[in-house]
Parts: sequence; structure tokens; C-alpha cells
Amino acid sequence: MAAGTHEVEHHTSLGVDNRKLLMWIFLASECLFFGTLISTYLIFKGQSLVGPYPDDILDIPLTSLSTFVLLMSSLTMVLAVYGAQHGRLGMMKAMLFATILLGVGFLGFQVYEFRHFAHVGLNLGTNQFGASFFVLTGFHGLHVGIGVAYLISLLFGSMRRSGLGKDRALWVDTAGLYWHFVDIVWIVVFTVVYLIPS
Amino acid sequence: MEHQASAHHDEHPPTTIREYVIIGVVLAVITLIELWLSYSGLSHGLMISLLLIFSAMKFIIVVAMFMHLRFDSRLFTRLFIFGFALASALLIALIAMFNFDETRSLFQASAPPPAATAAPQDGGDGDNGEGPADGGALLVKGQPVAEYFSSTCAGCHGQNREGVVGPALTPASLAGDDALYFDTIKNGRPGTAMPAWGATGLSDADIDVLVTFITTVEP
Repeated sequence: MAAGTHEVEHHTSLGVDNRKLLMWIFLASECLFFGTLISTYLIFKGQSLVGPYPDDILDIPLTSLSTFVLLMSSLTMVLAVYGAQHGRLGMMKAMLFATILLGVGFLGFQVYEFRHFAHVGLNLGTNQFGASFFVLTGFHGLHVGIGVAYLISLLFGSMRRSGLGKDRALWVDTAGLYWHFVDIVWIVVFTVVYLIPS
Repeated sequence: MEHQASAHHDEHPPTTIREYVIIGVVLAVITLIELWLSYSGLSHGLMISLLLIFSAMKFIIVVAMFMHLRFDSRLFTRLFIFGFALASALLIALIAMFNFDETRSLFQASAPPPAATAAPQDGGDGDNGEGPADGGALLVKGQPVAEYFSSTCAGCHGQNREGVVGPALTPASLAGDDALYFDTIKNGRPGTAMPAWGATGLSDADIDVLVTFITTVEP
């Protein structure tokens, strides 16, 4: 009788779901990945011999807006998880969709920013600032892109085979962890790269 | 249905939709405060401290409430803190390593040189006594040439001019015509990391001094 209702809850010796554990281990390693990139940025940003320099080019108001968009995507993501955990499928789908849209919106800001920088003469090879800036924010953007694909696959999965029900809420929960992590990385990047003056 | 709801009771955090929305608003407000701070004109140290505190608050709120660590297994919290602590240690170590590098060249490119401390070292260089090639007596932009080289060129060419990213710049390694070196400093080398220093305000006289320095003074 319990088998039918709890197909997802495998018993594990740690008492936590393996998928969730895997995601947390992955995120812990991602801390180091971004820690390295942020360190590199901090070390290199003041060493450019030629411009454009960070103060000439970074657009704080515009990036605040994209930061806001990403923060709100975290809110919609957590509401999607809420919907999944409480069996409210309609809410979950709507919120997943909203999260995807906001994620794409954030990427749109980033594409605009990168194109603008290239237009005024900053690219990966221009100077130390350009190299470390594009590698750091580019990898973050890549993570957002992967997150968007991840969420789209969840959304499609929830539409097929009678949906991602409550028992499968863990899939949404795990995707949510990834998404929020990408958001907190941006919280740090926004402060370190954009807000703190060089 | 009810059976499932009670069975899952412990699996989801007790936070309500309303609370999530309030948390979202709080995060947005903190971001606004940060934006204001970055334009507030507060002193550098205070502003950076406040910015770091506010972003740490956002970070913790998202991890604790949105990622549910506050209500989830402690194992996840420990794992994440472990990764985060390693990353922080790495960041601090790397920055300390580059900041306190004995050559000090990497961080001094645009900052004025510390007035008193650098002088004795340059005096020592100049005591080789080669008349006009005395590195201590020649000035570039008002600085002794050795000091200028140390703060501006050494990042790529090495503190002892031994060559790092850029080539070695010692009398032994520079057998070409002075005009070539003058042109390289003034106009840069297209396709390489060597910038055109003439365009950044280095005068011809300054460049002459640098050419004399690298072609005649032993490091």
C-alpha cells in the first residue's frame, strides 16, 4: 500500500534523497568554480594597461534591472516548487513558465551588454579586465542558459504523461536548487563586479 | 489525497506563498538599497563594507529560505558550507598572494608609488655608475626610471627585466637599433599585448629615457 504512494522515496542510508544530495554536492563544487573566476577577476581588473576600464563601461542601473529580473525569477522558481510540493500543478506550470521567461530576459540583458561592450571596444582579448570579466559573466550566463533548458525540460515533462505530480516534486525542487544557486552567484558577481568601485 | 498530504507534511518547508512573496520584496528592497549605496558617495571602506553585508544578507536569505536549507537536512547545509568555505579561502589566499607579492608591480600600475620606501632600492641600482645610464638619475614622468619600469612595465617584462609575458629587456637581450625600441614603446606592437605608450601620454623624451635604461643599465 505504501509502495504506490511513495514510488519516489527510496530509502537511503543517509536519510536524504540521492538526487538532492547529488545536486548539493554539485553546487558545493560550483562554489569553487565561481570562486576561482571571481578571484581571477578581482586580481586582473586593476591591471589593464589599456582601456576601456571598468568605471568607463559598466552600466550599473541597467545591470540593477537585470539583477532584479533574476531575483524575481528566484521568487517564481520557489513558487513553482511550492506548487509542485502542494500538488498545485497549474501554479507550478505557470511559475515554471514565468521563471523561464525571466531567465531568458536576464540572458537578453547580458547579450545586450556584451554586444554593447564589443561595440565600444571591449572584448575578451582587449585587456585583463575584458578577459576576466567576460569569462566570469560568460560562465554565469552559460549557467543561466543551462538552467533555462533544464526548466523547459521540466515544463515539457510536466505536460506529458499526466504530469509532474506531487510525488515528482523533488525534480522541481532539485531544479530549483540549481536555479537559486545561479541567482546567488549573481548576487555576489553584481556586488563584486558592478557595485564595488575599482 | 489527505493521506498523501499528511505523508508529505515533513517534506516541504512551512513557508506560505505570502511569506515567499514578502521575502522576494525584501530581496528587491535590499538590491535597491545597494544601488543607492553605490551612488551615495560614502567613504570607500564604509561603502564596500555595507555592500558586502547587504549582499551577504541576500545570499543567506536565498540559501536559507528559497533553497530551504533552514528546513532541510543538516547534511546539505554542511556540504554547502564546506564548498563555500573552500571557495572563500581560495579567494582570500589568491588575493593575498597577488596583493602582497614582493614585486608589488601587479597592483601598483596606476597607483602613485609609495614615496619613501622605493627610493633606496633604486639608489642601489643606480650605483653601478654609468654616467648617463644611471637609472636613479633619469626620470620618466617625474619618477626615477627604474621605479617607473617597476610599476608599469614589470608586470609583463618581469621585475628584473627577465621577460615574462613580454620579452626580456636587458642590454644583453637587446641587440637591435634603439629606434626600433623607441617605436615599439611609442606605438606598441600590433597583435601583441604591448600597448602604444605614446598614446597614453608618455612623451618622446620619456621614451628616450626608457630606451636608454633598458639598453644600457644592467638589471
